[in-house]
Amino acid sequence: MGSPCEVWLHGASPDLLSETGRWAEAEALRLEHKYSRYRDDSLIGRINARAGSGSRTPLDEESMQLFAYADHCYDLSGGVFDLTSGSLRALWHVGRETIPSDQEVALALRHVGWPSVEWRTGELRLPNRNMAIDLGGVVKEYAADTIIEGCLSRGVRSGLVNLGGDIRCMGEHPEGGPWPISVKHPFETGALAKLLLDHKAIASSGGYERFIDIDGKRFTHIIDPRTGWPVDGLAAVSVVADQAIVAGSLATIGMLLGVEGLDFLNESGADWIAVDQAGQIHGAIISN
Amino acid sequence: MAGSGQQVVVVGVTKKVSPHRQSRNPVKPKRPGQALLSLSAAAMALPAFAVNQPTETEVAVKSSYYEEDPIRASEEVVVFGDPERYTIKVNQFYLLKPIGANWSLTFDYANESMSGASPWGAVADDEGNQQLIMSGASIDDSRNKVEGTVTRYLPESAWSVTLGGSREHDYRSDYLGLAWIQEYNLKNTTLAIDASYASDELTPTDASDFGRIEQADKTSRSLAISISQILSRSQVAQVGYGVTKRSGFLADPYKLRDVRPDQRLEHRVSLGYLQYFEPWGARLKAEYRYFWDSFDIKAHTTSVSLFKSLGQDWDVEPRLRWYEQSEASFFALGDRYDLPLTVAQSSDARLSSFGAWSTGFSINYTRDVMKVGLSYDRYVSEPSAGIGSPSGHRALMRYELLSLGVRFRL
Repeated sequence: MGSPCEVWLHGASPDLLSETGRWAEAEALRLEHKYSRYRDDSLIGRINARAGSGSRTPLDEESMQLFAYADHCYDLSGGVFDLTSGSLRALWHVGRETIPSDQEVALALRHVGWPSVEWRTGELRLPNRNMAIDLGGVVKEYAADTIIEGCLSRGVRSGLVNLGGDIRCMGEHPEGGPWPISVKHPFETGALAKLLLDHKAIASSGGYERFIDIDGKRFTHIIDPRTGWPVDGLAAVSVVADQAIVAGSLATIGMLLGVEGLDFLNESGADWIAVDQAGQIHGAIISN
Repeated sequence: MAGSGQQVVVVGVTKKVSPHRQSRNPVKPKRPGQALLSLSAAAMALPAFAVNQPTETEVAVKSSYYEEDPIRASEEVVVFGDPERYTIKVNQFYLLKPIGANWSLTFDYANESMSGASPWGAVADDEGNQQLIMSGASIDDSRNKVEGTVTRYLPESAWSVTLGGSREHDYRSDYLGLAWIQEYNLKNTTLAIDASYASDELTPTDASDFGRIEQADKTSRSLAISISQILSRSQVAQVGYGVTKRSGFLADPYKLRDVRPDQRLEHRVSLGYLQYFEPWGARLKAEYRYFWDSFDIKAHTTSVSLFKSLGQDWDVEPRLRWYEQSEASFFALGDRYDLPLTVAQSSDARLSSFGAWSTGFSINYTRDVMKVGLSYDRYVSEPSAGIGSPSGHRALMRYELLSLGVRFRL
């Protein structure tokens, strides 16, 4: 998953816990191997390798549902949540010395566009040779949900999953009560917020400084797939929801929308907190 | 605890918004917004949120040996026939296969071979003591049973369809089952409903030689509902009710004299409780069941088992069960040939008043994908320990059951 991952489980039966722990680890690895864009033998690796060739990759039920979910996010976000937008990172790479011209941006945008991906038939085809799909963020959050739901089904009722900062918990903390979670501040040491999580998930987007400086101007690394230009908005967003995948999608969309992200998060119905580029805190995770 | 007040509480925010830089977007009171609801609904279609869906194929085989004690003692008890009772050997094969992300299939096959004698009838002597007439030569029989279940997993629920049948040379049974599970409250509450229908046909052997019925049919319809509730991190409670209606030829065709009503309505209620003992890796399970039916039989069953893990790979489970029942309204200790065949009567031990103890244990060893299990049970019934005045049946069963099984997860 490209980041530190941990699963905490506790309960009454040691062999149930260790069996479930083994299952959880195997499940995380399964999803990683299936959806990693860095592996040639993963589903995503094979899909991306065949981009522009005309050949179709059959999708199983799980993958179909993940793409359907991502498609829903695309509609909900007005097109900023786009699984094909990864290729824009190549345009705005670290070490670039000049600001891209309009033609360069227009050329890069030809390889981006989720609506042009054919997937609804159950077989996926990327029409353009330089298109690539990246499910990384979604799968990490989905893995947290899969693990928690699978634990509940197996009778393990208390625990916490933390996959690279996407957290979902269930039941009680070993010392009793909900799980205490600390959200890191993007710029300062110490916590942005501390909260108690009771059967919920919290996912974060951004949260670290990554800029490229070109020609004396500073640009973030979050690229808006509608314009091809870096987003000027929030530095970090954290969202709380019942499912990790929902929390993660809302956080990602909030980040991608730039300054409009604050309105989106406000109207989303979820609890959220965000820090903008100036260090100002917006939103709050408040009990109701 | 679980599922209570799903609240997120802020304990401390370490950086306050400075007063002269107002937030552009003051926090509004929360109402469920469109984005959250819409994404939550979309997420539920994902396989992660499906109910109890197995992800591994499982294959298991098991062999069991069952042996009844011979009728105790003397020629005074057995006036005819063989006092040796049944022995049964069973071999079973089981397969569970997940199909796609939302389906699973199970397949079950069992082959039983049985031999031994069983009571044909009984007479009561002048003092009211029972004497048994056992079947003569040993009965040798084998039975094959096949069953398949298809299960569909949905967000928070699952349903399944089961089809099965068993065949012996004198008995055929076919059945259909439907089951539905619904989870509520973040899987803290589970509702289960089961319905089944069975159609049986009897074609007793040597029917004309012994004046037995040559062919008869019987059907059973059942409905059961149960609710299981997680009370805390270490406690689960369950309550259930079931009803079964049997119609057709309900008597034992091999008994010299056995006449039963052509309908039987059975009810059962059950209460169950699970307690986990975290520091000891142990789990206690207790269940009480009450049964009553239209034959006037009432029965209590109380059972307790203690599961204990021993290290990483071993576990044991000792168990104890107590059963007592009252006799059927038409039970007769000695067969009554003076009564016409239209009047119900039976000297079948299973319809008499008796009590029974059953004790046993299982030992399991798990290593990677393989689990090996051995179990032993001893069942002893006592004519004097039933509900109501004792019937005094002398052919009540005592048996031992030994099983060895292996399961693989692939």
